Amino acid sequence: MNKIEKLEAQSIFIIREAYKSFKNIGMLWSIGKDSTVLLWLAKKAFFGHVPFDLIHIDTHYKIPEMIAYRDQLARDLRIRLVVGENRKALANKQTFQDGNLDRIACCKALKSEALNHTLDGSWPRRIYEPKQGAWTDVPRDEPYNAVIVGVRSDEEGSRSKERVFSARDERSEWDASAQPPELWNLYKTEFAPKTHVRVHPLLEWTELNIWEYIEKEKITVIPSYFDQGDGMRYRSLGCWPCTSPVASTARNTADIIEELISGKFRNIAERSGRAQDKDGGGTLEALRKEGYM
Amino acid sequence: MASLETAIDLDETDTQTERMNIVITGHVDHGKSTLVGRLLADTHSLPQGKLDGVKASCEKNGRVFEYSMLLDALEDEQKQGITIDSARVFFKSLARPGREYVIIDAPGHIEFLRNMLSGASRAVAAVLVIDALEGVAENSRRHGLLLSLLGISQVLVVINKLDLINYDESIYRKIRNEYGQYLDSLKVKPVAFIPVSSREGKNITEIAPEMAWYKGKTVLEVLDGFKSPKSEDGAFFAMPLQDVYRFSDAGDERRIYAGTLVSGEARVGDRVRFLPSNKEAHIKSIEAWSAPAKTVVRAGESTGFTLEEDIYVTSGEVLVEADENAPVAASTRIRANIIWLGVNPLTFGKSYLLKLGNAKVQAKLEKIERVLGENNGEDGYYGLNRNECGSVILGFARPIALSSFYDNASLGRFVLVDGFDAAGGGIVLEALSEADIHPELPTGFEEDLFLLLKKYFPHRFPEYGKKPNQDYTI
Repeated sequence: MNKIEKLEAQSIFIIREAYKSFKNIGMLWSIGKDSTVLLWLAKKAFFGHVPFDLIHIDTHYKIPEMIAYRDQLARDLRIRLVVGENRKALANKQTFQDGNLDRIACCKALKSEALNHTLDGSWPRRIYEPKQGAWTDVPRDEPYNAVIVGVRSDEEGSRSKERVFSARDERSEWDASAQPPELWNLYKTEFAPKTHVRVHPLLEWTELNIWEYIEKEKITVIPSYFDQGDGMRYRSLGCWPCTSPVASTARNTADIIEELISGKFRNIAERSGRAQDKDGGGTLEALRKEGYM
Repeated sequence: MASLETAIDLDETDTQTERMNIVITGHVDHGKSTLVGRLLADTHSLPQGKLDGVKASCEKNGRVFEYSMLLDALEDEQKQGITIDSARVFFKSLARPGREYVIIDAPGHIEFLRNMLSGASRAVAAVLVIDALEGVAENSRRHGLLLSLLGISQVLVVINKLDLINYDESIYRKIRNEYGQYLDSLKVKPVAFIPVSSREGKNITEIAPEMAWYKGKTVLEVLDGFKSPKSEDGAFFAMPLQDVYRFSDAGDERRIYAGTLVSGEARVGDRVRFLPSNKEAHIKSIEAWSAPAKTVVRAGESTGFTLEEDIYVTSGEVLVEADENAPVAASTRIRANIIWLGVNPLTFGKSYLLKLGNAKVQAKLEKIERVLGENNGEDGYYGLNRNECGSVILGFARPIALSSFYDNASLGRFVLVDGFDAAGGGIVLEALSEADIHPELPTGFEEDLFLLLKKYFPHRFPEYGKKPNQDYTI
């Protein structure tokens, strides 16, 4: 087995372990390349099925192609898609783009808060039912005990401290310093009632591994990752006011791999186009403590 | 019983790019960071201008430059998200293109033992650093013991700060002998001992003329000789059953027995046996989504089978070849080495959840045969405190399939969960039969009774009466 095959097998093991261990489990799906690989791995793990909901937090500032791609994929793959959002903040224009919040506070409102309240079922969910092929609005719903999330430890410092099965307490907070030991692949899947668990099957993957896998498996990703002819592409997808495309002429997966191995991005971090990471040191860790993915 | 070396036999060169996780351990201030800093600098693995930048900053602030500062500088950079692999420190091999070493930091402080072990359990090799001036210290021993408990077989011992003892061979020899004997007692066979000076860069990437008496390899050469763990292809077939799926949506009628092979291979048509239920069936198909059809699966693959015969088995059982005499057996009692990390001590009479492969079983401590490590106090026999290691006997509420660690690493290691606390881990030394210990008598009671008998009827125990400190076995 080569490196990528080993990573795939390990991630499938983790996804199966998560599915077995939690009654109400969902998979967080941000539409980006990591989420797309995660979804692919789930289909591998369950032999073509996706036996849980996909959850998307819609900030309403996503690049428009992302939403179109999301809805298309849910229809094509017959996935039960759960969409959460911070309706109050959006209605009151409590956002960065409206000039009423700084970047970090905006992330907190539109992502962390929306995520936490969507997961615990206290805020409305918009749900796509593949059987009916229709969207419904569900004002209150069952909480999820656990969500599978596609974070990688090479993305940012705080993520490297993560465990594969990582507990959040009742307030969705994460205590990085008091984590249990996690030995070999014998993950602790026993948690006190009301604990919310994040499961991280991609922790060991790097950005390069993700693209190598996309290439190997010929996975379709959103075209925004590729140069469409203007010499620009997105390396990491987020909200448009805070994410800038990078100058690159990579037109396909092979070009991107080349860029990462020996080309222009060899020594430049993936999230360098994400403005919120730079507003003060350690902000992503602070956001993650409050539930940011 | 196979030796440790053969059990964790190693693959030949991996031709692709490979990442090798290495844990660097040692007592506080014995020079772990300096060694890593040296390796980063001397393998040219630092971002451009970093070394000169740190040196210039030292000069400006009137501080003496030290190689350990490179680690801190790199961490600062990671916080700003500048380097591509921001989370983990890594450096490249000079001689083996495509190989990268990922350094797992192992803090010397005992409070971080949980983190150190979590990282080290993913390492395939370890470097133990000992200060030549100070000699073998408490954590030198402790870390050696932990590595043996985690089953890490590739260990390099680096004796550091030789510059402070004028590159004196006799001091190096003394430490080497002392620590070598200690590792020997743990059945750990170090790959090499190397005398170095991390500060002066001696024997790190180049052989130093100051130590002409040393005829071995450099640190980097030994690292380059480390091997990625073998994918256990040649060994017997074993697959813990992770789950059984029957997704009925879209008319799917398949019942799929899913799991990850820990060793060997299996083919369509093979007769397999589930342990401990002893049920047998033939593999009808190997299932996969978006992959070419195949008739064989090998160690390491996450897969799923359909079976010719419809049988009822639950997750946690282990599949083996029915015709292969695999050293996997259903057991209710094991002798094991464990490290206890629990908030509460490991005690008799309490039930813990033991996880091994995909099996979960209630387990009880039946006997502590030996408390390992520096704390050999008598109180240890009544339990294990946090961060203590011991050789113990554990009994299970029902049989589970397992191997000794030396026969199969994946089926021979386990964790213990105390309530919701992941409280310990260990390796199976051997499975015990019912006859090895009287299960109906709690061991603590047995020992107490023996002590009372000995006290009040000493004439019945002449061989113990005269030597009260002698060990006894029941």
